[in-house]
Amino acid sequence: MSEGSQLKLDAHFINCGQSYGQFPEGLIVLSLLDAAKTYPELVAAPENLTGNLIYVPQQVKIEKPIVIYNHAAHNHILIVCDNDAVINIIEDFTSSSDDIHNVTEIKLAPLARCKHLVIQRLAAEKLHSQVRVEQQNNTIFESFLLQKGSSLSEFEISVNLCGENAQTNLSGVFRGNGKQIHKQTVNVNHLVPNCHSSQLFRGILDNHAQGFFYGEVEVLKNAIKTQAHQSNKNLLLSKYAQMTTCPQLQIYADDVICTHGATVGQLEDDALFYLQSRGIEYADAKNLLVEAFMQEPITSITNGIFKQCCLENL
Amino acid sequence: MLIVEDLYANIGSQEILKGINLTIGAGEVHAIMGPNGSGKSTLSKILVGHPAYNITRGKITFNGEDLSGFSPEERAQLGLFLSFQYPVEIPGVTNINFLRAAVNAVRKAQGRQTLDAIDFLSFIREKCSFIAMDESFLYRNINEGFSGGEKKRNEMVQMLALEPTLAILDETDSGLDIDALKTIAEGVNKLRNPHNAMIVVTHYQRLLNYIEPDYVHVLAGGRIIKSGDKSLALELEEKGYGWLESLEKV
Repeated sequence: MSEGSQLKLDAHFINCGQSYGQFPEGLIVLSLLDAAKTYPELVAAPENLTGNLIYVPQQVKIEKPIVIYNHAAHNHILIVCDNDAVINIIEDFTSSSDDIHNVTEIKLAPLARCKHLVIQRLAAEKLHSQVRVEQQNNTIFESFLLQKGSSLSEFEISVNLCGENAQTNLSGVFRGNGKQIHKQTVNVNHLVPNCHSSQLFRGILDNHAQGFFYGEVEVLKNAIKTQAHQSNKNLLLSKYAQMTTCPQLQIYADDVICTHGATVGQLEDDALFYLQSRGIEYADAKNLLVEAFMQEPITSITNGIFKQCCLENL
Repeated sequence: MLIVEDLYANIGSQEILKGINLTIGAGEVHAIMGPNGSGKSTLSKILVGHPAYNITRGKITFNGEDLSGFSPEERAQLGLFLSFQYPVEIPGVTNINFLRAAVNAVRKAQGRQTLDAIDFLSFIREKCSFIAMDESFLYRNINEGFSGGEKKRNEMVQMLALEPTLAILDETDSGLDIDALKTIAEGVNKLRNPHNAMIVVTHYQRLLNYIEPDYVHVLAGGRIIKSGDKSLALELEEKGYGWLESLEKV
């Protein structure tokens, strides 16, 4: 799909900063300005920010994806899921005349579930985006970050696991070409016992592209029975491409299961030769292996529409 | 069909082939036997264009084309096929997608009709049945977690699907039990016709009971030191390679 075109899927489309009132399913979408009047307990008066409150009331389950176009210079999206609410959010960064600064806050009340997909397919602009997630007990957050556009993109996700039995699965693929620079910083804080988290990121860098992955898991002293997994693997397709990866664990609790790992490598000559020896052209063989490399995070996407959307935009 | 003339080749500083001459005509099956390290696998890989080896002298002609400068994929498209001694595992690529990409790439290059997903499925199912490979293997990643025998079966499915004019089987019998060997040999024999040819690289006479060769060559020290008909294989089985190597020295 070309840059700038609308994603082709059955969804509610939202332009950042516009008020939409209440949707038939019960979802409420307001501009931050309107939200500050109606829900002062949730939103403080915004200062020079374009943004939205997306509020999913108690037990409201919105299966149809909500697509948000984040194209103002300063965006602020606040997503609040009340008890036992469900939402599926796609943030589409597709075009803008300016550099973009974006903050997305996601608050999940007990039993709420949120699936989150970011598609970053900007043309030349610079992007700095933060996603801050706060999860209460028995919540599930699943996020996939696809980064392939922008000359310089910095993406930060931080998740606070504040309630027991919360689960967070963060994954993503970044593809750099030309002189692109992609940075991802991923922080997961296990503040209480019995939570699960995973980080699964793959990077593919060609030409002179540069990638950075800073992943951190912090397990506080009382957060026993934590399970945390972290994996970042990277593929360099050119001898000029560069990758810096830093998977870190800080564990202050006993009785936890934590794993982490990172690799930086190249396409395997033996695999390429095997495919070529069966008549497959070099470029196609390379594509097959690159697609294979991205398989693991993509198959981890549990929402079928998200997965499809991702595959179409890889 | 295939003419190898005075072929010398090395990998790094090590010379492996030291003057190979071999002519293969349509409809023929040639067995290449020889001790470990004699250059059998090197010859097989060089024929299909493995980039790690350098040809320092001689040439390879296939159906009138000088193969020097041909990429591995161009050679496959011309009708050359190597059944690998150690097939590569490729996680993340399903066998069926790979097979379809390969079959259609070769067909396209040969100016033949490509197969859509539905036609391909019935096409490939038939090939699986010829060598008794369970269809579930089509949906697994290429060779990932396959046993030695399953990998060899998968090589044979690829061979039957690509319909090569010259198939090289590099120790396809190693790691196979006797029943699997019979099934695979039956599959291989389905490919035999007056228009194509086969090179069977093996250590043992056993496979040649099922795939009968017209010619047997013994490769030692990077050269073919003796050629004969299938009775040579039986003689080797009885006397070992030492017999020929000592004759060589005299």
